[in-house]
Amino acid sequence: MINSEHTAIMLIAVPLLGAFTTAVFGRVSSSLRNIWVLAILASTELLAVLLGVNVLEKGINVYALGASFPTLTSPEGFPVRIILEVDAMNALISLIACTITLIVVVYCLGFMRESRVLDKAYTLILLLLTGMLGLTLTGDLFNLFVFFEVVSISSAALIAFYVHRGQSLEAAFKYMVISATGALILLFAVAIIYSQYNLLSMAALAASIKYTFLDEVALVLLISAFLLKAGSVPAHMWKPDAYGEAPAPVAVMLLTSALVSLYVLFRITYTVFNPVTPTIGWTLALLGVLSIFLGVSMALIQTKLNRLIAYSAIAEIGFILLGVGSSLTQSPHTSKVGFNALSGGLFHILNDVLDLGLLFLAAGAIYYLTRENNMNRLGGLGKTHPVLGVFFLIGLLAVSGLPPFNGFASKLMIYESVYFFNPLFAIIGILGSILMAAVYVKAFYSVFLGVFPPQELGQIPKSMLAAMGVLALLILVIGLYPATVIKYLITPAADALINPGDYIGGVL
Amino acid sequence: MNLVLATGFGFWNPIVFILTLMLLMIVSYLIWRQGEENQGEGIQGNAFFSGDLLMDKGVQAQNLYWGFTSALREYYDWMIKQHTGIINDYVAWFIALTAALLLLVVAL
Repeated sequence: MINSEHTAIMLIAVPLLGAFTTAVFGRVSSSLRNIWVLAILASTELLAVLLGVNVLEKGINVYALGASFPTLTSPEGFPVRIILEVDAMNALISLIACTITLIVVVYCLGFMRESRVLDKAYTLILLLLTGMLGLTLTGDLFNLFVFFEVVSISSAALIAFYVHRGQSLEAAFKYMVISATGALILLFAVAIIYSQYNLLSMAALAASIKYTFLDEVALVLLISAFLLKAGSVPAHMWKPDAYGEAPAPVAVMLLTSALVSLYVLFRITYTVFNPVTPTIGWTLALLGVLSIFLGVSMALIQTKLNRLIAYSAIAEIGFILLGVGSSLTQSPHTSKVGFNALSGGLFHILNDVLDLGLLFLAAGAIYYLTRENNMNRLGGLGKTHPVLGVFFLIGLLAVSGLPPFNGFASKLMIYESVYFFNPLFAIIGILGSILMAAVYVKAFYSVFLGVFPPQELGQIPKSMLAAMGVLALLILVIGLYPATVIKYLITPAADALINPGDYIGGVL
Repeated sequence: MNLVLATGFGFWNPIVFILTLMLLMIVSYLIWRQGEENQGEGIQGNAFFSGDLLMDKGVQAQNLYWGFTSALREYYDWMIKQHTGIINDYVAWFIALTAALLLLVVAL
């Protein structure tokens, strides 16, 4: 039995170990390598569940690296060690990241089975997971930068998976430049903070922050860097390139890393710089509305399926920013409207990754069958592959926020709360959802209805169907039991986020 | 398990929604059954697309929502022009975002 004190560090160490040993197993046999990667991911998933249960039962879990015992965070009263600090919020995000990665790798067993570079692909996927978990669990600003870089480098290499295609290399290059720019801005912000307080611990900073001019500059730089990584308007342009050129399972991983970036953004605004000025909330909500409108309107004119889903992912990021931005203006500690807006935004993180994840995987299955991504040259797949059509339909209805699917519950919470904050923003959000439905009706019509494709199509491997099936099942279950998910997962996460005192108390 | 989600100002119960939907589908089916079985056979016309007979390839993705995109032509022309695909422009937009945030948060 794993000692619960070490669960947090194990959650980062296990996929890191898996990343560097996968190639060794790959040299022996591809089956052994696949079993090894699945075992690593199953262990990581188990650790994420254990950590979540531990946090819900015992409160914040703190791990100080290099200390004689894990909770010795502040020797002589000064927090100098690298600290992992886990509350219900980052426990939820790490569980999402682990679950999605496991599903993605199961999908890859079929999708990439003919690839000769699977050793490298699995290594990079595990490294990307390590980076995401590091970003999520760390309580140290400099480590935030380090894991930001791990995510960037592994993502860029994965985007260039189809290395023989010029567009893939170009997309990877663009992603690398954009990520490096974001990382430099992030490092600059960390330097500004360190120069003032001699601190890198997020909890210690939250207790010391004085809201000086330089603090505000650092806050803006941090927000910009993570908005860029999340792909909010107007820093969204890399997203259709990267998601459009990467293999479908990699696009799902990129989507998950974007949502992890949003978590870090919320941690900074709610915990480290708490309370931020309402201007930050207004700005995030405005960027959310712009992302929704631009995302869906640009998705409507796309003819390539992956790019269409990528633009809709920008709109979905907008819904999350709208909910959380609105809550920042409402003081969620005291206001029920603010708390509901925050809960809706956090709930939408979970729903977004499931809905868009299913759509990306379905798009990948379409490409696997037809070697075609252009919707003008697709059609009639509903007759030959009805199960795939059902999966796409579930994803379509869920991402459009139609009842009784999961997207409806989170969007309902966002709309209701945002209406009290600014009715116009709520109306634009609802219009965005309607347009989103129109976007996916076009995609469904073009791919699954219409004229039968002339070529003979093969069958979708069982592992790909299983991965999509699990996502579809999660969408249906969460859609049927949103109140249970809110009670056990979202409300504890929102509570953890709005109570920086607990986070500070975990270290000091 | 709790089935009712209290949203703060109202509630959402997916089971009630599904039961209502099923009831409506049953009623729709019963109405549909009242119709004549062979009505419509042999009287269908050809499918037309913008005044032309529909070709074998059917209505393509790019044809859908033509009216909507045409009405917003100026917006789409401007938007497509901004999405140049050039990395310098991507970084420029990011710098513009950072500058705007700095002005809003720090200067105001």
